[in-house]
Amino acid sequence: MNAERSSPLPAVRARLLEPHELDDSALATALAAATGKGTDFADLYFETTTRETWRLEDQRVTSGGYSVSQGVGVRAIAGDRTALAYSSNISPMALTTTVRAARDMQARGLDARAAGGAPVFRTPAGVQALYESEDIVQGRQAADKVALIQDLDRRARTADPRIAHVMAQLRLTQSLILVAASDGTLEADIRPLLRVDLTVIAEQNGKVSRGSAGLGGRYGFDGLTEDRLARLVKRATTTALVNLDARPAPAGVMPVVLGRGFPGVLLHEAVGHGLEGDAHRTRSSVFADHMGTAIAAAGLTVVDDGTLPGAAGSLNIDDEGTAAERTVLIDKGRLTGLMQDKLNARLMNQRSTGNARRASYAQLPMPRMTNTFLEAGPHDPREIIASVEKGIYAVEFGGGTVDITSGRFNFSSTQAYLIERGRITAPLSGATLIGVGHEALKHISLVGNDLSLDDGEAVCGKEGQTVVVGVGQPTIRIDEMVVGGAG
Amino acid sequence: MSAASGYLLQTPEALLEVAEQAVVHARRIGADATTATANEFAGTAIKVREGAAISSVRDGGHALAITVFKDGRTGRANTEALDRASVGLAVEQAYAIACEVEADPDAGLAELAWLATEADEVPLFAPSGRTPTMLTDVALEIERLAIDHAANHKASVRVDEASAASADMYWACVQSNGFARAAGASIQSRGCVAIATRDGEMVRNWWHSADRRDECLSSSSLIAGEAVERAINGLGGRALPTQSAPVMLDARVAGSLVGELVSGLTGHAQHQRSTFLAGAAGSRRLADHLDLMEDPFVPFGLASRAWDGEGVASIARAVVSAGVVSGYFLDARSARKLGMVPTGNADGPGNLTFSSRLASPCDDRAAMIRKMGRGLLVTEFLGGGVNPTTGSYSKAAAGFWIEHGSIAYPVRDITIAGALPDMLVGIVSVGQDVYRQGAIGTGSILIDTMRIAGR
Repeated sequence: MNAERSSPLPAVRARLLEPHELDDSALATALAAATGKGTDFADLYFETTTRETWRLEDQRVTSGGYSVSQGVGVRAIAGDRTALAYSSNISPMALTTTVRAARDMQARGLDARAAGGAPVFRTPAGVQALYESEDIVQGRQAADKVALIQDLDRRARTADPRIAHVMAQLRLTQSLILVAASDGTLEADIRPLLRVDLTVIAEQNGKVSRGSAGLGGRYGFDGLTEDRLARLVKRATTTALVNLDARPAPAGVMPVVLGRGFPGVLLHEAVGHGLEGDAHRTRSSVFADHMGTAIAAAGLTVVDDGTLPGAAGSLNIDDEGTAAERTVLIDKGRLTGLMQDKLNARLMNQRSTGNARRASYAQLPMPRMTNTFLEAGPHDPREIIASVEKGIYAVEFGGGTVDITSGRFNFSSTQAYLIERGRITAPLSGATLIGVGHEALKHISLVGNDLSLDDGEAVCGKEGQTVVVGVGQPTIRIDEMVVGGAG
Repeated sequence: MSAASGYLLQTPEALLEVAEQAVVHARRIGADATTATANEFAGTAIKVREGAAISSVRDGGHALAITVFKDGRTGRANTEALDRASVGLAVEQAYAIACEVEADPDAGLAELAWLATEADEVPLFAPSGRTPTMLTDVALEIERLAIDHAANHKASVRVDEASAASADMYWACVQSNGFARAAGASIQSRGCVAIATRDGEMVRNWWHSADRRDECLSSSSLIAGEAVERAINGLGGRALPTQSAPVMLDARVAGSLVGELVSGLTGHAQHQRSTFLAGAAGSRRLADHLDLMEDPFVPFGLASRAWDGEGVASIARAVVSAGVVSGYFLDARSARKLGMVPTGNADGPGNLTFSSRLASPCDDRAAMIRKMGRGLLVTEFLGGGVNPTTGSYSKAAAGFWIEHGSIAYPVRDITIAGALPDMLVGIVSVGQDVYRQGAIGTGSILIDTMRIAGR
């Protein structure tokens, strides 16, 4: 599927512009009005996002929802100064008003009267086709969607008699975006996103616990393979059941083995955020002083790759119209790459790496991760667990955060086990693991051969904007990490 | 900008008309019952760095949310386009979904008896009248004051960002049972993020203020000073040895513990029994000197409201009294599931105050630190998790080690862990140094013992 195909621009133009009596020349005129003396760059971001949600609780699908969010965001940039105005109306008049508002916000201290020239848009070449462009919201009958979550409910309840409650949700999203910019960019994308969430409550002898798991990606119903659904149910029910018998996790510094897939949130927090271009331009990232230096063993390579077919974090083009790509962040232990958008790349004399992302037309784009993961190593995962005399093995996590300025990060396990003399012995309650980004990676001593991305459930928050990302890693051993248990 | 409506372009009457239109259309196509809420919000948000506005955003938008009921089945739709055709389409989409799902006998509009048909509005609307230029000037002032404040210290400090924002909103709710009300609210905020540097170490910290009224915000110098002090105070922090010790949550972060208590008392968590507080009503789950009061009627309170999103009248009440849980936070559906009456909390808790009957008027922060004597003062949570079902608690924290009733040194790279059921019973003291953030106000909270993981 990772083939080139013709641009979706005509199809998106027909949905986003033509019904509102807008065409390319109207966009060029608007951009001319948005730019001018002192303003280096302007762009228009048109979006319509359709979402359908189906919810199950108490064994019944009793509610559903449908939403449409649409509008245009106008951004004007002078140096490092950005202005944004937006409108949920798409019309020639609304565009004019919004452009004026953006221009007014930017105009403080600038001469707002002189308009810039109208750009000549480049014809989009063939684009990446990392996902299908058919409408996944309308593509199936409602009955199929209801049946899908009813099936998940049945699977979860029959997985074990201790499963007492099941909550499930199916969310289908389709976004059409179109970006026109003063640098001649005119690009469009049609982005599907399917997401299934499952939460189960287990009860035994008065003890209650819960487990959650998610599944998603840029694919339609056909992507919901038997393997994926079975794994979703297994993950949620196992977490709930294991926590029924869990003892408090230990406290203190010890070896930690992290499972493959979602535990790669470690790399997202410990490394990823600190390598976003904005934090380097303003020198607020601890990594700004470590670029080019070795921060991990030579066996460690970490990449951000927005071009993985069907992955939740993948993008044919980013939200500035730049093609997504693969960026090596840590090359054989050495800090190498930054993730950039146009603004930060221009101010740092670099090029955009296709990492500009915005949560919607109503928010400003920023450099953000796509799918970020640690490359596979040579070790058998069983050998990695067997190498630990006393420590913990953590396989499911709730999420994490980082302070990029100090590099301090944390992430919280929801399914973990004690390792004693190389063997998994007892389930442990969740615990928060903490570390410092530029130091923690030095302690990664064994890297497994079982790399996988997460199941498509990761989301990332930055400055109040949430976007879907991918995280991943093989099984790894970290020799020293603070485990924040209560035991 | 007109003084009366702030940044807003529409009137409450116009929003009522849109919502009414949706309800009428839903009835026409066969819905049994409908509720529609139309809202508009608008504002300006400015961020400055190095003497210039690095980001200026003009916010503004409107939306309509519709819920229709048909034979106990629920369909919802949202639209950001409020023209007649789009509203009609959204209603039809909600109705189509209701026709596909299964029945829930407890779904539906709130009973008439619970609705806020008479209650007076709580004043929340206070447009600031601040233009983008004025907000930029305020943010620049905060940045300048932070730099001035930093000049008094040996550490090098820079301002990563100073911000000022102001926004107004109107919303109107119309239900097929005759309920129709509109209200408005404003929100002002200021913030400052500082980075302190010493010997190659960088520490970032921040402070901010939010209020409905411009004149009630913390002063620019207080916000700037706090951000700078907090960044500098974090320099040279060290880990503690792994141990068990008393822990005090500074009032500015203690609200998170109250928030975890509140999450366990929501109707949804109670109905699913997915909380360590399942079936807690009527039983003592906290130390017997503790109270949690809810007052949604505080004028210009950040969590004040005369009625919630279902039109249910707000009530002032005790949620916890002498350690005994006396009520849950209920919307209409969860109230029916539990055989109870809704509490006006469809949009979350009203203004809450957590307090101790043992507190004396002189229990300020310093007195609370003396009371602890020796232990960990937590001034910052960096992240971490709580298992809401088992109450297992583990968070990354930073703060100060306390010896002989005073601050000994800054602490970081540690976690604190425990079990929420034990922590709530183990609360020894709540200070009078009340800090309010959003819906929750509390003084510093002293807990008898927690597990600290460090080096």
